Amino acid sequence: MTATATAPPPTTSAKGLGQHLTFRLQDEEYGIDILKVQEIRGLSRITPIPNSLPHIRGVINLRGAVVPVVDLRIRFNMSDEGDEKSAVIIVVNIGARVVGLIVSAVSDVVNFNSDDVQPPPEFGERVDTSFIVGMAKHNETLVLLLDIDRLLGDDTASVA
Amino acid sequence: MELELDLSDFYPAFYEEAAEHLSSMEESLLKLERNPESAGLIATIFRGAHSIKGGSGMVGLQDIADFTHGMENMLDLMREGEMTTTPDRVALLLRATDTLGRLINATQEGCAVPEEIDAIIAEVEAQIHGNSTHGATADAVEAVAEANEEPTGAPKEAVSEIESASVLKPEEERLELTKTEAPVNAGAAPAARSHGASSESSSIRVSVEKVDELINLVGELSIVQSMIDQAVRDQGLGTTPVLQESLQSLQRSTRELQERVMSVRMIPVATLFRRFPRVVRDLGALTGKQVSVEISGEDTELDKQVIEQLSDPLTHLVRNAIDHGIEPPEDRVKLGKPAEGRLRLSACHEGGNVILDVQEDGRGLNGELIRRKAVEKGLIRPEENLTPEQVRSLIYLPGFSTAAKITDISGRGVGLDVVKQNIEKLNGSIHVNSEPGKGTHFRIQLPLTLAILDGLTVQVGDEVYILPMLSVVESFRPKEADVVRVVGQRELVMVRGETIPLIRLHDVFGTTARHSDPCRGLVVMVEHLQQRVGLLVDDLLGQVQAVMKSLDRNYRKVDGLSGATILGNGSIALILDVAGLVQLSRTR
Repeated sequence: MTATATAPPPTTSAKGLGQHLTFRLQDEEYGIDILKVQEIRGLSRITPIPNSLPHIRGVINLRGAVVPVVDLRIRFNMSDEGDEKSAVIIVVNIGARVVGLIVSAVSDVVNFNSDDVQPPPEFGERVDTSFIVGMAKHNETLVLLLDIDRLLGDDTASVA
Repeated sequence: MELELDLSDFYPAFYEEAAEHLSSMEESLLKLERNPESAGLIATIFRGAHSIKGGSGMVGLQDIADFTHGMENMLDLMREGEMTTTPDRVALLLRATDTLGRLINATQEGCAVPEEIDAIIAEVEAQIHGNSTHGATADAVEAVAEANEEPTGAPKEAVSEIESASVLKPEEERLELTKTEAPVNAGAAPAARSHGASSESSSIRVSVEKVDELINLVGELSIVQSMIDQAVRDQGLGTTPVLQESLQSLQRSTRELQERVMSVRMIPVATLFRRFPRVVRDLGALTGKQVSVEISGEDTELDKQVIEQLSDPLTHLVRNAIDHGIEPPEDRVKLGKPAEGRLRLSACHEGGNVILDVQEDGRGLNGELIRRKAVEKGLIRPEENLTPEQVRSLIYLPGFSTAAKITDISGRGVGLDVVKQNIEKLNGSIHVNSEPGKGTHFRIQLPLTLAILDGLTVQVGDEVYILPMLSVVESFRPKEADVVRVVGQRELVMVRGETIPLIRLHDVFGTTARHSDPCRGLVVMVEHLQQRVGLLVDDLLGQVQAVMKSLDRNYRKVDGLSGATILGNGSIALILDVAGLVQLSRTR
């Protein structure tokens, strides 16, 4: 069950998905593999990094480590306003690196079965959906499951 | 099968120990050269050889064990007084030590063993049998000498293609060696064991990562401690005796813990200096110069990382000193100096920094010659008026060399600029002092550690940045008339007759500042590679000892920044990289 979570090949990722942390980005629900999540923190002061991409909000002090913070709302071209009270940072592990994700709110921990999950929709060639593992229904809402390694691999990799 | 696999687990430990033994053997052999009667030195060298032989045999690296065996036997005879210590024999042992080093390297890297192995074994063998270097072995000596003159890397590479075949080479030799093994070894082994025990120190090997984790944690602890301190005072609880007392002891313990943990990373500069007597000896022989080395302060401790990165620049300075600095003996005598030149290497602490000196009593820097060369190369204009200090600093410019002819050792003009860059990368600085005819003195100033940076905190808009203290020259608020904008070019600011480019930090970083008018903010003059620029900031906040954290650990390198640190209030401040900022401002 969990073995596929650490190294999910795209073709088989719809099977045995396991537990996911679901969260909200404005009005939409998303989910990531819970094994990638290290902790959840309140939104604290972020030191901006000069000349970085707009969704790289800066760095925070995580118990002495300097950790970059990615605003997933901005990454997905959403507004970053109106959810100040509930917004949190989900700290995830991407390979050996630690990265923080700003989301509107965390929702739940859900165990998804492969039956619940449909392959990602086709938006045509112009929309990159390679970081979407699939779509699942939970409590009558649609949850987009993200492959966080693919999503953030390029943004925060040491090779610019 | 399984047994072999197990053994390879011990290789790294063996290689590490062998490297230590090799360097102590080399050091002692060099001393023995000057002091052939010293039984203590011979014993030390013997112990080294014995330990390498024992260690390699234990982990199953038979080639190394076999090679060392001959050396051990020879040393044993010298130790027992059955063989006199002659300069030739010491030189042979030195060469054998070199070869052993190469053999161990080759084994470690999995490439072909050095060619000269057989010749060295034969020579050592000859010594043991009391044949000295007559007749047949003389050829071997020559062959060895030739092999030794080749650069270390070359034979390895050349033979690497036929790796599998040549690995077998020492096999034949081994048979020959076993003949002498039994009688000599019988007495040697137990004696050596007792020696070995006495030199064992009570230390353990710990990986640098583990130490760094500790340093991180302690850094975090001290931040939390100062946060508690602040909170207690903010709450007006600072006068509660119990709280006050426990806070003070917490602060004391935290600071001490931090100092102790930092000291774990420190190693004596002796590990760095140790190699130089050999370098000087070989270079002296090559250039026909007589040089004695004087080393002091080798117990001074420096961060391991700093020591590792100092090796190249220091080697360069030493080579320069011998090649360019010290005159040939006949010239020295004519000048009324002792024929033997003196090279002094020393280290000491000075106000939170470590000072390294490389000083020789050679011909000194020739200001006129440097000037002329600089004009010739178009580095300065002929009419330029320079102070002696400015003239001396020309030697750090890329491509500068006054050497009349290019030698293997130096003179290619690739050098002092790189030395200076390397030192500056370590947040250090280098200065040269010289008097014609009396010698040259390079002084390197370094921070104790790379982990902590002496910095100046500056404010730009809402952000706090840190400038390395070493690059800061001064700060000032210019008058309106002092700021000039060259049409279509950069802004310049004048200070006491000097015109320097102005870099607006907020422009370079694409942020906002409180003052975009230089006459209302502050200009901090910083220096990088002899070049001065002014950085426009809102305000100076103060001085900090910043614990360096890398940005690329979790993110990536950022232009204009060398890292980040955590301030006393728990927030992050970015550390500015002056060289990167200058680069950034140019591309804008």
